[in-house]
Amino acid sequence: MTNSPKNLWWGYIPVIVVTLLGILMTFQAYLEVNSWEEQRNSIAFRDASQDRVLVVQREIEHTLGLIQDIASFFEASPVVGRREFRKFVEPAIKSHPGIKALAWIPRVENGQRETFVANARKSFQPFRILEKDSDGEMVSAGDRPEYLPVLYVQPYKLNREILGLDMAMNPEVFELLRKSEDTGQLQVSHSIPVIDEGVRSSGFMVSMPVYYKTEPDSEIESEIAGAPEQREIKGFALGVFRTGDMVERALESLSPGAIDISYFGESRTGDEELLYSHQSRVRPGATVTEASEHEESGLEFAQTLRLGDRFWKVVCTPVPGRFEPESSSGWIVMTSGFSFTALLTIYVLTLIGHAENVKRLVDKRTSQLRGAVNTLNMEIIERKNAESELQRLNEDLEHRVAIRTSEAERRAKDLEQFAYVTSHDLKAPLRGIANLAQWISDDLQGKINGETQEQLKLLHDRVSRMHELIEGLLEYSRVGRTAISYAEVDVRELLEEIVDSLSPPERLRVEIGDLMPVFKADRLQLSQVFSNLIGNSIKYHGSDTGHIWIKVRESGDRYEFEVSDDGQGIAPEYHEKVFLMFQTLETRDYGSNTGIGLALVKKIVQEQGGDITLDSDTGKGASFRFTWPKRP
Amino acid sequence: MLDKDAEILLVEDDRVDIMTVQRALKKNAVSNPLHVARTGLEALGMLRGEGDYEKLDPPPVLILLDLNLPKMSGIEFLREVRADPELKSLRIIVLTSSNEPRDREAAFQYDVDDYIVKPHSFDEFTRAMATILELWDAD
Repeated sequence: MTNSPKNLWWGYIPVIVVTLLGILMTFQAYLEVNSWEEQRNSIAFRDASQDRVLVVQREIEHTLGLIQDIASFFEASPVVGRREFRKFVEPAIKSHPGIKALAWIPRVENGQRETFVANARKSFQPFRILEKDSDGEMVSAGDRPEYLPVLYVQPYKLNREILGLDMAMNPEVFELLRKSEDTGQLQVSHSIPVIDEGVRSSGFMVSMPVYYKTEPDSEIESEIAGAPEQREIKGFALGVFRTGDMVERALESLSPGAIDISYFGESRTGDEELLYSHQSRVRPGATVTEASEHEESGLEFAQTLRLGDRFWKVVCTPVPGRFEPESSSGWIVMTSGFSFTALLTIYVLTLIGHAENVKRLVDKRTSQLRGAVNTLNMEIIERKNAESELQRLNEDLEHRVAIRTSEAERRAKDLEQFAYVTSHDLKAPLRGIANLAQWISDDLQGKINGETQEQLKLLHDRVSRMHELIEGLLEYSRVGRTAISYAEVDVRELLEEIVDSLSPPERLRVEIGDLMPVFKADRLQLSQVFSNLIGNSIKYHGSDTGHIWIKVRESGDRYEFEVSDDGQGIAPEYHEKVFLMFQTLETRDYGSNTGIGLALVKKIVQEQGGDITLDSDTGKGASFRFTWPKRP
Repeated sequence: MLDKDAEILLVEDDRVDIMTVQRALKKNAVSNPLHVARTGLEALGMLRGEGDYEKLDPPPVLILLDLNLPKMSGIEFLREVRADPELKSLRIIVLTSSNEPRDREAAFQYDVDDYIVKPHSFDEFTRAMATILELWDAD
């Protein structure tokens, strides 16, 4: 049941789950890493960009501040000489390469032209107020109510051609100046082309109006009142800057950051135009730039720069390949994830395989065990069967034993009945015959011849013998049939009684040994044994003179009695025979010997738990030894 | 001595045994009347005057009882006699062929005056008879 294909497939569900989970998690991790990297890059890029915008902003403010400083300088000093101006701006020019020109442009009314030119010529001899004619030639300015000539300009060498030039005739500059005069504020121009030795770059102008000082007391008031129109304009501080140089100068303070920066400003026409594009210093050939290149990464940081009341838009883009998620880490995560998933899958597969093996093994063992249990059960059943069979046999046996016992009891009863019947029914008629024979013999005394008389005697003898045989049989059968009764027996006394009743011949001496015990025994049986043995000794002694000894000795839990004589003895070949029933060693005619005596003795002794042995040989007398157990 | 007219009852079924007793008495010169019952029932009938029997009156001074009897055994007879108030004090001597302890015990249970195993030889029987009569005489 465990090996059906369905279950087998179910077993592989963990593998599928693990694999899918692994893949999903790997993708998730990959995305997370990428996202995190992107975010990190984006933050880093933004920070770097902000740094860059900040330093540029600072540079711009510094630049604007420079113009304001110049304005303040002119406002504070009634007269500023050419040399003073140069000294004032020189340090700034040296440290700011983005400065194209710093100039002082005074307002000169027509009436003051001559005085103004004369004063100017004191420090610069060839000074005159110029203007460009329609051919572009520098000519002395025409007669106009007011002039805005460039009085001082630094650095002089790069800007000598504008010295004396009336800026009121240059629309762009004039517009800027007028705007700053109108607002009384610093004004930044839109982008202008700056040409240095034939190289054209983008730049801008900054103008700041300078007013004549009013009464010292009312200066503060007028400033508070904030009405510039009411003040007389003195001139303008003007600066021309190269956007690119300024930006580069600012970025010098930062280490290369792989960021391209584009500056966009409002053109004269109001359109947004690219002022300057900073190529990151990490670029190998930092010149050629395509805007499209920046779009690849998608990262862009835009901010607005403030120049006076003008705004620049700064757009930072990373150098391609920088600030991009390190694709390798994503791929590392992905590869690691897939590898791990693969390993996990393999591991789970191995586990499942192992589990399958274990399961198979368990199944095998289980079936083996089941088999063993079945076998055991079978054995148990067999054993139970055997047990019941045994019990049946036992019962059968018991039944048989019971049957046999009752049979034996019945037989014993039969024997008893037989003995009883014999004692009465056989003995009675026999006695009748004996008596009748006696009476015939008595009644016919003298009337019958000697031969008949002899025959009657023989008849009597045979009847007597038969009587004795029956008596012997009865006695033999009575052994073990009658209840044994134990009593204290004085053996010496018993022996004396027996010897007395047997009345042996006078010269056959019966000697009863010493140490005859007094012990618990069946007196009748013991008496029968002794009287038979002693009687036999007397009967078969073979001589009227001799000895019969009766001795005893203790042997553990029994007494060993001995009845011996110095008679004719019994040949060894007859030793076994004498204990058999009806065996006599004499002829039938001799004496009243039934052949039952010794058989009876042996039976009694054995019945009592003892044994009897004979030691004798022809002419050497006979010695019967029998043991009789003591009883507590 | 035994009263000359005292009657003796012999309960015996064997003719030769009856003759033996008769002869033994004769040989011992005892001439007292001897009644013979062949069964225990007959003896009881004679003692009680039941049935066809004439009652022995006065009762016999001695009953010689064989044990192995037809119809009613000697032991059964003893039980009947000893259970009968009129008869229970009768003098009874068992005269039997049985030397079985069983029989001996059963007889003495009914308070018999003696238990004598019939001797095999007639001479011994005669002597035994004399002994019985002498004992009775001596009483």
